[in-house]
Amino acid sequence: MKELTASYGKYREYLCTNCGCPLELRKTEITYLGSVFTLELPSCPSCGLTLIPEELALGKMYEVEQILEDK
Amino acid sequence: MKRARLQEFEYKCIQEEPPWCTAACPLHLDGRGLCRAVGEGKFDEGRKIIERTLPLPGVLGRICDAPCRAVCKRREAGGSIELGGLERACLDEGPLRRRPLLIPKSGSAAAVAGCGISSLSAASDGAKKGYSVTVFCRPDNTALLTALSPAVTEEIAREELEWLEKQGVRFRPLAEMPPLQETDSEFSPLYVGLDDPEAVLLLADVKRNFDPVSLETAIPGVFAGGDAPSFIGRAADGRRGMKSVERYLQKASLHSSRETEGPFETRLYTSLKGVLPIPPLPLPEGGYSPSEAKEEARRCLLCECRECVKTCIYLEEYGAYPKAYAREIFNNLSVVSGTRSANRMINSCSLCGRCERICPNGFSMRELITEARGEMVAVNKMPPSAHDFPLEDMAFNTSSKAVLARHAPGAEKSGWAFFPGCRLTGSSPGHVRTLYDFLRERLDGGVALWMNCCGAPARWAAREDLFGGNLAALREEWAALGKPVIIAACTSCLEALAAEAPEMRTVSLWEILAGLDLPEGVRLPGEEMALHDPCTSAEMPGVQRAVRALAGKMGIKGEELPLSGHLTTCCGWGGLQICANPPLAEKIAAGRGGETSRDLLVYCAMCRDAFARTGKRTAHLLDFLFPPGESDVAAVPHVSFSDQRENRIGLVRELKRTLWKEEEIVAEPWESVRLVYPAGMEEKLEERRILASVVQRLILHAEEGNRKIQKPDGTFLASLRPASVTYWAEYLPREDGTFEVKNAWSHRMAVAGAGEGGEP
Repeated sequence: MKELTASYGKYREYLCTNCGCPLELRKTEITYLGSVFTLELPSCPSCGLTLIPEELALGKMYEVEQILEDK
Repeated sequence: MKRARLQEFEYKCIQEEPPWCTAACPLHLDGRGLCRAVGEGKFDEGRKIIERTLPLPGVLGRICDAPCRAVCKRREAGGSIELGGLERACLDEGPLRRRPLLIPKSGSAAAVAGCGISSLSAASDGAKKGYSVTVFCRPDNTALLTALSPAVTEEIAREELEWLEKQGVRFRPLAEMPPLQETDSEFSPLYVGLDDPEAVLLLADVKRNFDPVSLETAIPGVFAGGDAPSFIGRAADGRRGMKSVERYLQKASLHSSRETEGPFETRLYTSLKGVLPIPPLPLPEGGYSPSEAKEEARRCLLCECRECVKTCIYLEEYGAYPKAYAREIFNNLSVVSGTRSANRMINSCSLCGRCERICPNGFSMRELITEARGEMVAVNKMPPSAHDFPLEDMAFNTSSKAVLARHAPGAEKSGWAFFPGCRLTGSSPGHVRTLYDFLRERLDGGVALWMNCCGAPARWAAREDLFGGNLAALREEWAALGKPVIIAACTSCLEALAAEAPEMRTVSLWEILAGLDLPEGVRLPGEEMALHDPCTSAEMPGVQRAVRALAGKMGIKGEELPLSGHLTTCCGWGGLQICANPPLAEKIAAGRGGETSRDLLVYCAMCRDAFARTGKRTAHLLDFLFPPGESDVAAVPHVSFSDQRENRIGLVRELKRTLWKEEEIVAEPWESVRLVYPAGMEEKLEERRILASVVQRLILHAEEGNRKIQKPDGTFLASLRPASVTYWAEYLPREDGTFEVKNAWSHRMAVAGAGEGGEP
């Protein structure tokens, strides 16, 4: 997933409307069916609001969900 | 799943049973494999099969009298395959490999008396078992072989004997054989081939009542056989005798589990449907030429069953057949740590039950799959993504927004309760209202309206907990209505209620309608249509007859599909196939639709939507009985999941207001969020199983709490996690107060900082 997050630079131009901060890549905890991962994701440095872009949700994240479901 | 249960399933599927030729062959030559190889011109493959199975392959393969011809399935369609001629053609086409045996010597010794085909077959098998074999016979040990047929030349016979000698078989004169009674001699146990007159003499003083199973003579450890007229039968005796020698040496039972050693009846089934009769190619004196052999081999039916697979896209999809699937599922359920690779296969069956009605043995994938799903749920290994969507839909359909149970307006009791079911309510709410009005007008005794879910989705998902809870609620509502007879529009509801709550009396809407006079204004389709029965009606002949009677009364002509009535199949909705494996469900619906060029006529709302989804022109019988505004009803597109939900909510409100004069229910705040979509977006949301109501709630949540992300182009991104799925939407508020939905997606993983919980 690291290669994927490298392309997330564009999300630095996205703003958290509540805090007015541009998003930054921050380590974020992801959990599914008892498995825990940490991933750098575009988040608001102030309130922690995090974006899961479409390409991640329907790409790698979906693949990992399917693998975990069959474990 | 217990192993014994697996074995029960395995026994029922006969696909792996041997074909007739193999079962009838005393040596069980793979005749089907041989025909396949020769048919493809692979004579070397054919020789491999012969060499693997037959002792003395160079001799037996040339003189085989092919008892298989008496049972060959082809004899019912032109004439039996000339398998003996095909064996010979293989041998005439090239040399045998004659690989040396790579078997360690067992340390045991066995003796054989005689040099006929029976004795030498026994000697060959003995050598293959690692025994030190001594053959006592006349000095010209090829004489009896060459006497069998002109096809066995001295050279061919010599080649066999040389191979036996190379494998350590020793030949000694008969005169050197120790007396038979000395059972503990170094040459015991012994097989005596009765096709050698000199060997027969050895048993002159022994009583001729040999044991037919073990071939044991009156002398323990001495076995005899080989006096059958059939050459292959004599060789088979030699094989049986050497097996007895083996058991004798191991001090094992000479009798147990030997039922299928010789010819037996196979349990295989092969259909001759569509097989054109082709007579055998006459076998010339000198044998078939390669091209003739190929032609004859191609007549072979390559017998197998696969009756269920031939008619089921799902069974075909995974490349095997029920017995193999049962093993795969058993292994899947037994995985402790590792990948459960059969999960998707298990969740992709529509549970339509056609296989059990087609299988000569009644193998039921439905039973197997239902048990498997139940176990997966019980051990918490059911993939959440398989059934979350339909179960959430069921939760909605059983919520106060979608449920309604009322006596007819002004009535205090009901002899009947019209139970339209979730799908008809969602797909065609207008028909539910019309039907309810019609039934109230035509039936005596009072007709209640009962909108609820029968629990079929929970049953298909093997969620006994949810199904049981729902059923308890249904029982209460039914009792509160005074236990009326339930008029169910959907055969899935009928099936679930009849199976799980037989005390709740049900009748099909179609049986009721067939018994009433037609309503005014019945319309006829422009052209003849093809009638598709829903899979859950397969075991309801009364319902199927009623539909045909009703259609007939209306003047509708319906073509019967080749597999209809009790052999009908699923549209892809059943068993939640459409949720667990949407591409397969669509393939199955398209496959069914492709069986006819006519428009489909259905009487199930699920079928109507599933076929329409694939672009197949499909109309519901109600579209003609109570015609809606559209003139070309078969062209109406399917109703999306979002719209179905809207329709249910809307219908409940409308009925409450107009029939029962109940006050307007307060709308949810998110209902005020008005959505607009660019072209294609609604279809995208439907495909991604994202409901409009979820997007409405998401936007309300984001706007009220200012929990959103703004893109440089001004659009907003926000998320919501109502339960176990996080939904994202990209949207733009417009000046007219609507929100343009530009994109939406979802994921199941929980992410800190994304997808805050919405209202449940």
